[in-house]
Amino acid sequence: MALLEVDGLSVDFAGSQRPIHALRDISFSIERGRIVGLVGESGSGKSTLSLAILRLLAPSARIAAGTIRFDGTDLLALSSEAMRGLRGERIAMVFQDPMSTLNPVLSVGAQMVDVQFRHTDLSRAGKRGRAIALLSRVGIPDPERRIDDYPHQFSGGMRQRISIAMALSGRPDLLIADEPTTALDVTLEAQILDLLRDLRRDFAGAILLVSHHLGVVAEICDEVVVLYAGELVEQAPVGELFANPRHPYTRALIECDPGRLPEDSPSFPTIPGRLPDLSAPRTECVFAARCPLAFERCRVEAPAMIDIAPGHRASCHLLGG
Amino acid sequence: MAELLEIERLRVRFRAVNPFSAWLAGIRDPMISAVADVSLSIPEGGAFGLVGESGSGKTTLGRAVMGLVPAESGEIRLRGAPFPRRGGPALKAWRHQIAMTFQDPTGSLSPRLTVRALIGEPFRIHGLANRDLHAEARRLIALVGLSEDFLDRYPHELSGGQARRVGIARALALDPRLLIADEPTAGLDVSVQGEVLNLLARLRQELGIALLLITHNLAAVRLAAERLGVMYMGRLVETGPTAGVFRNPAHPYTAALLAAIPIADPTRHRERAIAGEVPSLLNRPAGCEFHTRCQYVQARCRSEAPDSREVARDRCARCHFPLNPRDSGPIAIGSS
Repeated sequence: MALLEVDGLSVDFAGSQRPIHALRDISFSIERGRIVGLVGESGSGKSTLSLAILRLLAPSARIAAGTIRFDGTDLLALSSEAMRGLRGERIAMVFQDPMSTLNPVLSVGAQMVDVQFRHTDLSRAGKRGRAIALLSRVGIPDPERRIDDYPHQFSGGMRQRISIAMALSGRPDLLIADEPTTALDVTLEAQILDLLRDLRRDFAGAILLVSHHLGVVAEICDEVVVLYAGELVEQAPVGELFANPRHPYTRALIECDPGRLPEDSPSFPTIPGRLPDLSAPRTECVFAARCPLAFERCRVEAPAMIDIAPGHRASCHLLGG
Repeated sequence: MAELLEIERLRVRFRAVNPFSAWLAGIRDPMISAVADVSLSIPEGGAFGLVGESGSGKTTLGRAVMGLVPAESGEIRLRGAPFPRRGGPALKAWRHQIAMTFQDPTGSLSPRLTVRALIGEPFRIHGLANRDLHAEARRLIALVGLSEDFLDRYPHELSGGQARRVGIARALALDPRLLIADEPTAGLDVSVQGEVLNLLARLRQELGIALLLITHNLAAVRLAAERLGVMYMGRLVETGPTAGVFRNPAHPYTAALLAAIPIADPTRHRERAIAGEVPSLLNRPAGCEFHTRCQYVQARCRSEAPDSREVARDRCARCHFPLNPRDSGPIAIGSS
């Protein structure tokens, strides 16, 4: 059984006239021990999906259809209390901006002891010892001395390490990292990616890494899920996705990466056009308006998901079906 | 080609802590040099990319060129004319020729003005309001590739990429010779980043405008600027033609920075990231300031600060033991 199984998930937000379909019919699963990348541009629904898993969606959002099963439990059927028991404990999240995750008026040690409030078997000193061990694990130098420092006394890279340590303090099975390196400089980004890669070795759970940066995904993920305008357009093992992208959107996204361009490129590739209206009913392929390969059928019928190889599927009429 | 902008030994200092706290903490010098002895030049129509980590002084350097922060020492010349010593009309004339776009695309636009009014502002400030501002607004909005419908929108109705374009339209209003673009791609989706960089390239071609591109987007600067400067703790540690620096970095910091770029190819693996973080500007390391993180550090690096010197034709680096362009390890190239 997969650790996380998302099946047919649709999420709507209340719009001024019609509901906005932020996610439509999303199905994928995450096995234990895997790092799965969730890729897409602004408005693709990446953050909505991670918040839906944690059941932290804004009140204006409504789960219109689908189920989310975590370790066999239907998360959407759980009581708020039971869900609160899972959050931070078995499913933890690392956010983009570590400064707004940490409380500025409490020392790091106080916050790290507080988040272990469920561990009634541990004394305060025991929790503090565990916090020190976690800080040391994520590479904070001299943690015994620095544990009483406040967040502002740490650099941005160190703060992100601290928020990873806090996320790990509940011994989660699923760690959701939402753009964990986007706010960091490239050298610190590389350090955090090294850290995540090291962590998976002694961490039995899975990581869902949300990112708009394909380089980051290529570095540490085992599998990739590509979202476009709220729909899952392609899923593949990471090597397969980069070697053999089958959805035109995935291809365009990979081509846009400036790191892959030859030195003498005359210009940067772009994806002309804009996201479709997310409130309109879907009667065509979601990418049809921007797709260089679109043909008649793409504009009258939404394509079904087609299996290409084990673990590789995409929704495109060009794949037949 | 004639030099448009010349910067010589520029230094910008800020007070980082108040004197009393400095005294309490035992800090001898409460001032930090955000920009320290930076020299560079940009020819007419050229593009210079300035890269480095947060806090390396890139933005401060750009702001000093605009006259938004005072230089403590050093010289800035535009077409041979020195930066005006007094403000007033002379500074206004200076800013007529140099324009800047700022990091936060939406935040740098007044939320209460329409795009039309925002684009008209530079003309009013420079006493040129007698021009046909509606015609100018139409000309500028077309120049940055937006339709005229955008003229009546407010900043909150713009996407990140559109707000960038409006910022660029404003900057181009007075037909400057140099555009300082501070992180023009930050926070944009990768496909939109390409659009903004293509726009800057087109403007250089059409208007002959020079570009100082301040960015931490290393993959983008590779194609967007012919020359590259790498900053570390306020100093330029390496300069040279962009392609050459990318192919064979001479300074170990440049090499580490380039090696840290994530590669969008799962079959290739990046080396492990360099350890440590940038030291505090209040407490600069002795000797070479990069020695605390340099994997090639030697005794001399800990005691003696290297000067910037030519390590190959048209290539300068501030390092005692620059990397051999054709070798992975360092070689000593005679002491200075």
